[in-house]
Amino acid sequence: MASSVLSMSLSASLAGKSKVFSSKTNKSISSNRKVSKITTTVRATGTMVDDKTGIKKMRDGIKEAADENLLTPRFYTTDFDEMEQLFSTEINPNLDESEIFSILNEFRDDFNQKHFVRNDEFKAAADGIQGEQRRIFIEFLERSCTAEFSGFLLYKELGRRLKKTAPTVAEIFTLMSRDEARHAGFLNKAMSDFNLALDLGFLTKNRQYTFFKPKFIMYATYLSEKIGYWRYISIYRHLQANPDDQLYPIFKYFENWCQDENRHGDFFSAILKARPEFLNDTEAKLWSRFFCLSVYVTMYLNDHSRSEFYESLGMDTTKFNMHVIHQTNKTTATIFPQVIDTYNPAFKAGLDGMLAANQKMAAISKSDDSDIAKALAKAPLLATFAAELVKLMIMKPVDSGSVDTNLEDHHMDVNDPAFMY
Amino acid sequence: MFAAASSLTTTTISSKSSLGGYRGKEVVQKSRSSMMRSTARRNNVNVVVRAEAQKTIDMNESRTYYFCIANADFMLNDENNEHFPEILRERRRFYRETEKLQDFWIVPNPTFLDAMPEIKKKIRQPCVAVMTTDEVWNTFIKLRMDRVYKGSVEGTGAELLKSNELIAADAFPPVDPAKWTAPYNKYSPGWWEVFYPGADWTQGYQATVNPLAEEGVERTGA
Repeated sequence: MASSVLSMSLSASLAGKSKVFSSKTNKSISSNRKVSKITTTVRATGTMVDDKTGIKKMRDGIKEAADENLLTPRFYTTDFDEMEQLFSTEINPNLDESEIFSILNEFRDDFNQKHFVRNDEFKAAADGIQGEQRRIFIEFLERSCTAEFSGFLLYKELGRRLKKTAPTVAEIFTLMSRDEARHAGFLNKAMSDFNLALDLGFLTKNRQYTFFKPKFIMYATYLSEKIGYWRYISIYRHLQANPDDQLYPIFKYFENWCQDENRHGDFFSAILKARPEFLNDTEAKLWSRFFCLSVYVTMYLNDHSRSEFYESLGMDTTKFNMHVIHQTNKTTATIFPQVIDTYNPAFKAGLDGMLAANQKMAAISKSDDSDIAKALAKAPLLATFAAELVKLMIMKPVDSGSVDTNLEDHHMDVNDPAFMY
Repeated sequence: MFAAASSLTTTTISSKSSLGGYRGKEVVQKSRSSMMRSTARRNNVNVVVRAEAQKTIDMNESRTYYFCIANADFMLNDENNEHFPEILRERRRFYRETEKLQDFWIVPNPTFLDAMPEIKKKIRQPCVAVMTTDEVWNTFIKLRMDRVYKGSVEGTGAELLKSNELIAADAFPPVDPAKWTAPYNKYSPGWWEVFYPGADWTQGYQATVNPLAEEGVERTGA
């Protein structure tokens, strides 16, 4: 999953049915966790702070993971038994696996097996990035690495759990976890160019896992993979045309890299098409819009809260985001039964309304007021935020879907230019 | 300009098979330039690249060809479908690396469609087909492109890969800068020509997986 898998975080906290829980492993080591926190605090006041950026370190060369909040990339888990029920070929002898098999074949080809090879340029470029820019670069790398690693953990576990009952789907999950591991490892190596790698083993055991039912995993991961593709390809192509803005060589790898993301998204298309009950009723339409919206809003808020990063690459954050949103929405319209009308001016207005409220809330958080005063000051802003979100949720949607599953539902006309063959 | 020179200096692939002739089942395609030879001067090193024309499957053998077909604008010009040239180029790179014979092409306005009036009626014209003998890959293309008609046809490549008319590089109206909001330029029109049957897709090809290789050639279709 690309950096925007973080988008699911908002969905996680807003989707009523989701809950946050700690896995058994988490519980068993929770005591260790406290200890390590105390240790870090002590260390942080001592020498374990990166001298160039002031970033806290767990130990030498290892960055302390950023605090989790509503907009940070999350780790996910799901109902593995239900996943098994959905894709077991024994339980579902009529499951159409032809498209699932076709995407498996793409993963087996492994186009990027030799792609993620570093060279000398990395370290030198990292040394050249200093000051505030260094801090936002490290933050970008950390968020991206955490998001990719989150995909690795989820896919790896799904591959393991479905191996016996749904071997095709399981093999795909395993191959996707291979891709995510490559991506996360490459990003973590990049962080070590800045002398601040992440301890991914520590993260695995210590972060909270958000639970999503399988169908929400399908909607949310589909979107995060596709938006990840659009983000990476847009950055890649912008920098290809403007090589002077290429501050660090990692972006040169994005073209091939994001083909992986795009294929991961295709896989979720294929499994959604194999289980069309997730695509063809009113509830599916509602959830489709909800996940679209939460993914777009999360990216918009996240990217705008670190505009300097995109500006340092010579990009206009708003233009970049709107392009990515429009394109992701069009792509998503080939599978989800409804999507957001992103070209409606009310959509952009709503995003900006939420952004303004969010920025004010962030400013309040940073102030020296008491927690109670902060909460009181934030309450009306939170209400504004929620109202904007609801407005977008009930805005007139666009009917959409695959020609294979939704053609008749929507009385789509193949002669309609919007629906061309 | 990146570190292309080092990866290119030693890439001298000489032709071993007789061009245009049979070698077992492998057929070397005749094309405008069956041998590409380019000389470039980089970092004061003379670089000679000789690449053999891409080999295809036997065009005279009768077999099943699978296709996905749709309106030309959708296939070649739609901003949202620019992943299509990307996966074709990626596949071309993969075929080169694994020495696979070419078995996929872009065929504009295919002549075989004339014998299928019921299908032709459904497809807005002019149209473009992606044709392949790989049924599984064709299913993947359907999954990726969605709004395409998927089918198959029996015959030889020599018969089935013919076009009534090609799609010119300037067939689509130029991009209106006022409406183009992407933070990059569109892929150069005509990017599809290298995937035509008979075209030599080794042209302009960089035999390296290193993304730091020379800009623009393999990756942009420019």
